[in-house]
Amino acid sequence: MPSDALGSSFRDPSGFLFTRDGTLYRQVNPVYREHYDRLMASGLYAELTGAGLLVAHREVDQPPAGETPAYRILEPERIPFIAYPYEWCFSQLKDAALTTLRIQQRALGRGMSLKDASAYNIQFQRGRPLLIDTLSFETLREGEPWVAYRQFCTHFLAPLALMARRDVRLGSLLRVHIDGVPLDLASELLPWRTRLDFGLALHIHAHAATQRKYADKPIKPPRGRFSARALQGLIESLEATVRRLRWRPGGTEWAEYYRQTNYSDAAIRHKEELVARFVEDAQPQLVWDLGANTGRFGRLAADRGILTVASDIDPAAVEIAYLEARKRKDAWLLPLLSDLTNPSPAQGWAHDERMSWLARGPADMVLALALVHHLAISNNVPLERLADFFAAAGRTLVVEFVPKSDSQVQRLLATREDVFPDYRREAFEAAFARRFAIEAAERVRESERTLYRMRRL
Amino acid sequence: MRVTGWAFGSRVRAACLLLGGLALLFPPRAAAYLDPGSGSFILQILAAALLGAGVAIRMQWRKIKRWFRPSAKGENEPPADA
Repeated sequence: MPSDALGSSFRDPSGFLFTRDGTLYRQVNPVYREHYDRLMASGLYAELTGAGLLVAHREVDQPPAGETPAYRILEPERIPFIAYPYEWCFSQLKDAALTTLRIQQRALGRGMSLKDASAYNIQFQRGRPLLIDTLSFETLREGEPWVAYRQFCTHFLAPLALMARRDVRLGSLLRVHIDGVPLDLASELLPWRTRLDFGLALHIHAHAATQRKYADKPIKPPRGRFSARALQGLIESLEATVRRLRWRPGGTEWAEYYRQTNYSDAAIRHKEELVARFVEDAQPQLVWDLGANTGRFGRLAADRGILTVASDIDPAAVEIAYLEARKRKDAWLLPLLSDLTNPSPAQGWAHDERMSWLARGPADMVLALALVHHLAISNNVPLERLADFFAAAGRTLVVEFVPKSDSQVQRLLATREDVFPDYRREAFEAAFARRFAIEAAERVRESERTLYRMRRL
Repeated sequence: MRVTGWAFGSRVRAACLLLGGLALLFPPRAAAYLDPGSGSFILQILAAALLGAGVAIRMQWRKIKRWFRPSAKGENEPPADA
């Protein structure tokens, strides 16, 4: 494998991704020739790209990467921000699962099948789930079971069932288990009554039991035993099982946040005006709204056609943001789950398969609204370190300082000793001036809060 | 046949012996890069009849509905996203 191949692209011998002069290419290896030709000639590629289900590409005249021979070199449409399944809310994972099954249905209709069903192969592009791996298809092996069934269950069905039927926070198991949640673990953690749901009984509990029983036994089922109708039934059963899984936000910490806030209407409107003006002044192409809650302020950038990643620690807030974005067919807001006190690390093989959150930046602009007091007081992060982090995250920063006298900060201090003598506006400005040029500072009307626009030094 | 999560061990064993025996008669299939998992393959084979029957029942049901409501449209289209 050549050295410029992407760290996440090594498992499938069909081909790999590599970069050259800043452009991303996909090499199709000679071994995949038959399947690639079929994908293109059968009309499946045109059908899927036309429906917005598969990433579009063009064949380019580029030499292969390294010494390896290539059948084709493709230049796929670029995905501006890569997100991972452990950063998705419940409905994002569910929509990604249903998209994978819909693609499989269409592939079966044209004599092909998905040979993998990795959640990492799905990205949200223009607000909708998109399969980004062109080499995921193979000519249908008639009479054989679905080779990607296990992967679909571990990457999609098991985490969805755990989130819906046990606790939504169990989605984070995907971060620990890079090839999906083991089915024996899911089976053990799910409530007993999930055995009464036919789909979960079959695809999780019975599946885990057969895996346990036949682990490492080299059993090759004979051809012709699994009819086309059975395969169709399997996909329909998985789809029905996924559709039945539902989760409604409520009861998690900040889902009701905007109703509890201490802002007046005038203050909120003024803050929105200031954010919109700062965004227009900076003309960013990629915005990270950190601690975005349900994405109210990030939407000001997204509404201007700017890709805005709106991240929050609260699964309910991210769920609400996503459902709202989906309803509005918002192409530019990407809500994601992220705990800023412990952001996604670089992980997988050699720490190189999945990028850390910061490695996917820097953003052109970072929004840090009503955030600093949470990090500085609830998580004890010194102001200098906050400035260092934001300087690594983005080139321009829109940051709000909320003083101790504000009732929201008082709430954070209510249950603990005030060990933050430096948490003052002057100290905040001094700490951030080490890293940023402060270009604007505006007091939010009818509040004690100040909104800054800063440029990284 | 009803396959449930807790009471089909002996059926699995019998089917497995049968399939394992039959497998010897066939050449190994072309390699897939993903390990499909023996248990995952066996489960699909065991549930095949049931899954196929589900499709047949749904097709019949649609026919019956069409017979009663011949003007109904969109019966064969996949449902939209949840």
